[in-house]
Amino acid sequence: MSDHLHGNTPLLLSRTPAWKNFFSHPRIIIFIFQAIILLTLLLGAMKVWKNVQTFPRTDDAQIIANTVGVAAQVGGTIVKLYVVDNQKVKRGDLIMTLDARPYEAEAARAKAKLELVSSEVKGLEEQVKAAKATLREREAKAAYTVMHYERLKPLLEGNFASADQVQQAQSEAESSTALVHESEALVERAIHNLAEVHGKNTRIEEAEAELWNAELHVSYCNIYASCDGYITNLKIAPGSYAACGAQLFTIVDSSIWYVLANFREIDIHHIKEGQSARVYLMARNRTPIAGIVQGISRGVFPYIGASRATAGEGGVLAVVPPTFDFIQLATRFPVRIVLQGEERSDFRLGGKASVIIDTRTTPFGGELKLLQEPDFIPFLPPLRTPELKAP
Amino acid sequence: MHSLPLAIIKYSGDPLVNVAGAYIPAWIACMLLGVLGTWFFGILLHRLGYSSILHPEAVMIPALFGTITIWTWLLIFAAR
Repeated sequence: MSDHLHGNTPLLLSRTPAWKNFFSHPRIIIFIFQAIILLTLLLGAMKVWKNVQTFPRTDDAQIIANTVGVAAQVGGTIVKLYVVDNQKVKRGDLIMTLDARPYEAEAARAKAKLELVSSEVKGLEEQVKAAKATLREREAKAAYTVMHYERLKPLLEGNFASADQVQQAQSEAESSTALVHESEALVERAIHNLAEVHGKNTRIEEAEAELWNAELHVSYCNIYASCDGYITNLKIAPGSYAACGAQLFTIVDSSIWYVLANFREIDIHHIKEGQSARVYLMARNRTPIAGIVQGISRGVFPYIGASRATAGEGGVLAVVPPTFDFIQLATRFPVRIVLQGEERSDFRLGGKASVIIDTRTTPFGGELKLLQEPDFIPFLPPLRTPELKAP
Repeated sequence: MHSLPLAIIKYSGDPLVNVAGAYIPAWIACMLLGVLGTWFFGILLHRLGYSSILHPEAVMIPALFGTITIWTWLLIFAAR
């Protein structure tokens, strides 16, 4: 081909001006094109490097929401289920009812016990009154006998009273004084038996606490949703036995959706809290959703010295396995990105996503849907007053 | 389906390319375009009689491949 070009050169020379002749020289053109290719490559590589540094990215990310495991606080047979799988529920919605009869019976027993104890306490109060009355009677008697002895004692010297009379009066005075002491002790004992502390009767308090506990158990038979969200993995039917504390199904909390994106440690130092992120959900036709970096994980399950098989037992630490074995790879740390805006229909816990973080934005200037709004008011199911049935 | 400018806007910055549910990294897609582009340019330069631009081949062909790959990525997938 180059021979062919050389062959044409004399013809071109004869027809074109000198500068065109210079540029049409094959060697120069080839050199210029080669230089353009190499310089474009260099420029492109620099731009790619800068772009990747400014916009760290990962395709190892998943949509996450908080989950609330639904478990019964008391054991019992499920009598009624008010929800179906995948149903959206609101905080405070009644989800299911357990058989409350054993707990209602317990509440009735506790109520009866409270009444019994109240009656007993009244009896004890009467005992205190009786003991006090006895004390007063004995005090009166003792006052008389002591005075009697005091009067007789001087009469002994003038032989107006016999020694026997005086001794009898003395022993009666001592005896009745001892009876007063006994009576005082009896009053004390009756007061202690009554067991009133700070103006409240402890027996009644105990019985009231037992009744309260029994009423709580009755109220636990109604199980309510503790957050807004979706019923997930509901695979039970009425008639199943709900064991105390055993998780039956899950509510996916829909109040906050976020993405856990694993970034290599070499990229982490560019990422800061509050930076904006573009989240591409695989599920939603690739248009990005705005997110905000909430924080960067301080720790993942360390693989050194641990076998891959036991990694899941890391328990409280996130398990982020490296993708290859034979090369030492950068550890990846989960970066939590809170998705902004309204909840969308294709947010699903575990859905795949890819994330690009814009490290130029610190802190995020736009409107912030607050990251993790801690709910300071814990959810307490409404207490149902037990309908006590006579046995 | 989409005209190229629309596709560029729509897919801009997305680090993954969906191929029937399998998501391949954008840079692999770009490398594929790089291979095809290099092939196309090789043929074009040969037709135009400038095939000696690609000499020495060991340097210039990877350079051309790299240029096409990188600029495809920059145009379509770089975040802005």
